[in-house]
Amino acid sequence: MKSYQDPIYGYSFYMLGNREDAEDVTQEVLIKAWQNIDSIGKGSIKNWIMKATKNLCIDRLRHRRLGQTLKSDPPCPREPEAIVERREIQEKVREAISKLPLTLRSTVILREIQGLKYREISKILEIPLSSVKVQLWRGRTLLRQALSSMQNEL
Amino acid sequence: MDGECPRQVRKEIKAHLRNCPLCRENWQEAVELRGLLHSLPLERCPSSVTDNVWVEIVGKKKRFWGLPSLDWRAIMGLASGILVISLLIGLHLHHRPSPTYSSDQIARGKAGTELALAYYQHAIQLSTDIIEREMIPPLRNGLNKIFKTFEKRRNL
Repeated sequence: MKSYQDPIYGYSFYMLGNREDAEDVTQEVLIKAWQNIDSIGKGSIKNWIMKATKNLCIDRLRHRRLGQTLKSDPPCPREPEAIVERREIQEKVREAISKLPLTLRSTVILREIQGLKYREISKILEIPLSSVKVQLWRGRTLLRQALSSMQNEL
Repeated sequence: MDGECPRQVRKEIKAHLRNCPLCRENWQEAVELRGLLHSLPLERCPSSVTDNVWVEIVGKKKRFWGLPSLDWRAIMGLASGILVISLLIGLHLHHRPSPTYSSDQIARGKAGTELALAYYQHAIQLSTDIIEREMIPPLRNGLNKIFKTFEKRRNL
């Protein structure tokens, strides 16, 4: 269970943009996995878990009220300047990710944050390998545009 | 960039990047973006989440085990009831006063006792059969299921 909780939590956190929802989704997925452990093939537990996580995140995003935005941790006033700056950059990147369209966001998170292979992403998202490559390319392009416009605003 | 291209394609891309400044610029931007994305902290799941999961799982297990025990109790009750009734009949027939009885009556009494003992043995056999047929297989299946679940949980 320990080897799956962080990937589930990390994916949910970047997809949903806040910790409370990510915790709820992680809990729900782990309980579902436990309940269905007999029907899940031994080699496909990871795929099953990530697929369930993706579906739950999408459900939550669909039911989420409009205008609800990403909740980030407040900066600690005693932190050194370099760390504060780094946190700010990370916050910008997170914000840019959260603004990506759902499908692109999911692909980018699975590849860039979870470090999954194209083939694994294709199985989890149930899309062809070529679509994974296209979505990744589009996601990265949008991220670059978003980040450079954020940089220009500063 | 993701290390998923075949070696030959990788070589061709590298050769192209050496000669094309526009693609090289795009490539460098992509590498920078990747660096930014990889600099994001690894989000760790709080331990309270797994604690809650275990609480939920253990709660469900208790409810699961509560159900079949009702059936077992009914079977045990039935078997015990048959035993007690058989014993009472046997004891009643065996200890019946018979000093004034004739030899014929004594013989019938003995036959009655033997019959009661036969009933008693039959009842024991019946309850043993019930236990073997109704209780042992579910118990064995239950244990197998638990072992399998633990095996899978260890792998999980």
